Amino acid sequence: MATQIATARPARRRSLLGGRALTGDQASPLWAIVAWVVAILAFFPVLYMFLTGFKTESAAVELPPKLIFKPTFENYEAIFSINFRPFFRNSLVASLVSTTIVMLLGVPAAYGLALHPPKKWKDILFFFISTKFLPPAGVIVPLYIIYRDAKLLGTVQGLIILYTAMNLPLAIWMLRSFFEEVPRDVLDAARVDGAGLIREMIQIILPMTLPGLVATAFIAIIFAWNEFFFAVSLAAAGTATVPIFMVRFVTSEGLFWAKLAASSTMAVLPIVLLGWIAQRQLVRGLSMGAVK
Amino acid sequence: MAITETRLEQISHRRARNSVLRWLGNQPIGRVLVLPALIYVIVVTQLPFILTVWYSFQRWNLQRPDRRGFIGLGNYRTILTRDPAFREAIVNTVVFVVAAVILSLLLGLLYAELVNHRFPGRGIVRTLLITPFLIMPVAAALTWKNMMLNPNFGVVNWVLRTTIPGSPSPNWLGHFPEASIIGVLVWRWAPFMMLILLAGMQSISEEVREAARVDGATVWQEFRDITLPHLYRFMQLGGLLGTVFIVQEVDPLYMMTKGGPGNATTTLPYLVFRKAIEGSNIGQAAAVGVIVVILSIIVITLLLRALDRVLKEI
Amino acid sequence: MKTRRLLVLLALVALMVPLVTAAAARPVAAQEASPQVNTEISGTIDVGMVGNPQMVALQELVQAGEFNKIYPNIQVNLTVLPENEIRQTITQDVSTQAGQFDVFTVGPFEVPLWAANGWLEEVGEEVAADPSYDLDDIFDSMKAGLTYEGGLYALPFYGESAMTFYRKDLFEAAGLEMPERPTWDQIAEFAEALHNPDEVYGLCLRGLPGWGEMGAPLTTVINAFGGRWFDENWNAALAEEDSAAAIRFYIESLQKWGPPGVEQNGFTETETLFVQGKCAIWYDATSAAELITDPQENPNYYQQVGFAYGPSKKLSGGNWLWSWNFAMAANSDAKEAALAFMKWATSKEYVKLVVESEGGWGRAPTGHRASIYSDPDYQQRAADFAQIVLTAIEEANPNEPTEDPVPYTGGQFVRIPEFQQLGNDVTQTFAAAIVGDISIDEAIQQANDLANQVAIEGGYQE
Repeated sequence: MATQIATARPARRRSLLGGRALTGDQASPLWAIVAWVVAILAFFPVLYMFLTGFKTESAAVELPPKLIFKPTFENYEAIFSINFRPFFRNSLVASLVSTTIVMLLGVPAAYGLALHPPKKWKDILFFFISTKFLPPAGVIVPLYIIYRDAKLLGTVQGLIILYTAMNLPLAIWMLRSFFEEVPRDVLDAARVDGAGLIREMIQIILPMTLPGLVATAFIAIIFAWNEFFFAVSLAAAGTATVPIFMVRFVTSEGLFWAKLAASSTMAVLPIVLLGWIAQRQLVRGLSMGAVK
Repeated sequence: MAITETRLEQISHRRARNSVLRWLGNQPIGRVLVLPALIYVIVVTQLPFILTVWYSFQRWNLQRPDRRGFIGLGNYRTILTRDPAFREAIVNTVVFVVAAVILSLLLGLLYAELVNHRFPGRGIVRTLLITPFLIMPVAAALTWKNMMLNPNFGVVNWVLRTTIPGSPSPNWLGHFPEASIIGVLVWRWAPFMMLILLAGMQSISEEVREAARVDGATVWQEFRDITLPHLYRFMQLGGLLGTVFIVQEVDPLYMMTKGGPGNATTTLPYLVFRKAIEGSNIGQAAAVGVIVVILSIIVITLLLRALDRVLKEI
Repeated sequence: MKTRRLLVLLALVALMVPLVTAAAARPVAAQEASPQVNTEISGTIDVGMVGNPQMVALQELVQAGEFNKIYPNIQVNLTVLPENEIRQTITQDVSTQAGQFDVFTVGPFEVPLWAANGWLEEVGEEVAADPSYDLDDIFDSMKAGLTYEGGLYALPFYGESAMTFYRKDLFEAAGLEMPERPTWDQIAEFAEALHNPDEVYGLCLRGLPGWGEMGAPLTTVINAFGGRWFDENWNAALAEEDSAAAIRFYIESLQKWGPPGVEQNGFTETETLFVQGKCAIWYDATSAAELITDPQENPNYYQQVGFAYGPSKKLSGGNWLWSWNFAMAANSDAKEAALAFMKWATSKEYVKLVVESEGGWGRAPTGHRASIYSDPDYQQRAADFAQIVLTAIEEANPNEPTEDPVPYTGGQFVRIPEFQQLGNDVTQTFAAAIVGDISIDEAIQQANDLANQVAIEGGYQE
């Protein structure tokens, strides 16, 4: 079955996504079969979650598991009876705004670290990464008390502040490596032309590293969208985000797999779609193929 | 989207730069550029951390305000000498992180190598492989716990029962909790490793590969002699980032095993969670948190020293 | 091309925007109200609730404007989360006096403790003064758990004790008969006779670690066996003969007659198993009775459910008594509105409203008011179990839960703040024993040590 799909789809898929294909040599049919089997295995839990969302609760726990069945929309109806827009809006605002701030702070910092490294730049980089080692649960009560006094509990601003801090170290780390890849002679040539710092950055660096910037932003969005602990601890009352919408279906009633699967599907869908569309950007960004 | 961000960035950057420059006068430009991000991270992460250090010297159960008080190193003494969970958590943390990082690197390497060759449907295969990384950790944990690993109704045991007649139906989360959690972590993080490694593979010049092929190298020889050596630093980067992220993974533990049975899947960050959130024991939770930070910094310093090349080259 | 992909992305974002910005209008329907309430009260209240079916029904009715029909000037913002998450949120909020919630759901475990800390508002006096609320209708045993120094600090929304559920068809086929008041020895015999792991497990009990999960039934089994968590001087007593026997019985029962993966099963998971026809006997909260006799929830076996009292050993029962209650934060800035909401949600009229609007008792709160049990409609719906539930609730005595004297109160818990952590840690240890990582004796010893440590650190032991 795997091979049938494999031969039926590729042409359409490529034209849909467009863009330059990744490099690589033509592989044998056996290679393709192995790759398809591995991919389907890895994807299966996601597929099964998706399908279970369209089953009745009693069918959800039926064995053997059915992959083809008459779908029901009762779970989605139950979910849509709860107004999920506020959850969705909060998540969207928290991830997009925090990512914007991450880029606004991260790009100059990474640029500075890469191309005009201050003294002790390694220590600075190390400090950024070291902040990732603080267990969130360890700071939750101090944060709660600070947020209480700053009137940030239950607000999306409160989440934005934390998500920015959460993603900034990784973003700086990634961005710095992209800026490092910019060939020195290009920079030197620009400087000889009398380009200032701003022009150097806007006209030379940013265009050359755009795929890397986009990849960084995507990863920041993914992490912010999927974040659960801070969201449930600090913002659940007032500005609940999508992960909180999802866990509401964990404990409520007895038979709950189908509803859980449906709400999980809703929760992950935006990011999965974004990731699918952006995956080449991710690979290209990380490989900095555009630099060459 | 990226375009708008870039524009915004230009505008605000220009403004910020003017005022900051006037302020800092002849500061070196690199420092000026790093400063905003540095100040932001210091304020947002170190302020709560200082409070955490302060709380770690207090006896403080949230629900017993009457007994709150300064007890010096009392919490540390309790944790280090009388808390069996703490010792187990250290071992678990090391096992989880090492196993999950190495296995996701290996699986990610397999994924990347698979899609680094052209074959029909390669784009779809890569899309499918990437997906677990995009799935919300909470959703992934719940799907695995229920639909996949449930001993009665789960797919995994059903497959085992039907393919191997007479095979037992293991109670995965009960009898193999560490392996189950590591499996789910690897499932989610292998795609991330794939992205990094695929990036590395794509940066190998096609001429080198072409030359190898002309010389009659097999796929395996090409992989071993060209791809792997080139990927070394990318694997280091993946290992470093993977360590940073996986060590803090609490969602799957919370959703799948609650750190048990016993303390079998309690890592240090999850121990902090258990003490702070489930036990309201803020003093002890803070103390474990401080210990985690100290241990992490020691480990990561050693790691970074070992991986100095990563810093130099990437 | 690069730009094209960016365009696709932009389009995706553009598609999301209208979805997000279309804000839902808040329905506010004013209507004539009954004369005895002051419908002019105004204010905004934030309510935190646990996401149980009964609470979700309440949420839906509030969102449908039912509350605003009576109090048009009160705006209610509801936060509904699963039990663990809401408990965490509320505990942090209340103990740091952050004031995010005016009203919240809370169990009898916390109410007296929090009242002692000055975090809760006394509500008994005002409620008693309102004859239409009929405070006397609420069970005394339930109110006792919500009282501190003579004041009432929360109003019960629904209540429960514990009982035994079993499958009548299986008992009949095996020629067994469940007495109305079984002993644990009989339960063990039945479980042994009915256990058939390929089809049905002899006995289902909660095995999921957590003071409110495994901790609840286990503690009542300890009580029934004549055991206790602490002796009168706060020395840990889990290793005493009766307590240890109870723990050993509980763990061995699950190993012998329980479902695989039982250490993953809390209330919800066990109910799922029962509804799937996988449990011959199940001892748990009475609130499950309504769910498992509902033809929709339990399509295959709803007519086969039998009911009996919670099993006995040395004591006639385990003194399980729980209620979900609404309490008011002492620092609420909208106390009148908050009290109006609490009274509405816990009133007789609210029960009627749910039954009418849902056309049934499925998600109606029960177990807290005597009037429900004299309602002919309910008597018919709950004919098989109403009397058992009623008697079990009346008989439960959490203030003297054990055979030997103890320095604490609480039926399925020990009412000290440290019990949350202690109960979690101890049940985790027992879960390790259930799966066989450690022996039962080791587990009991470790649990006893943990309890002693808590008693010392908490300043209970002299």
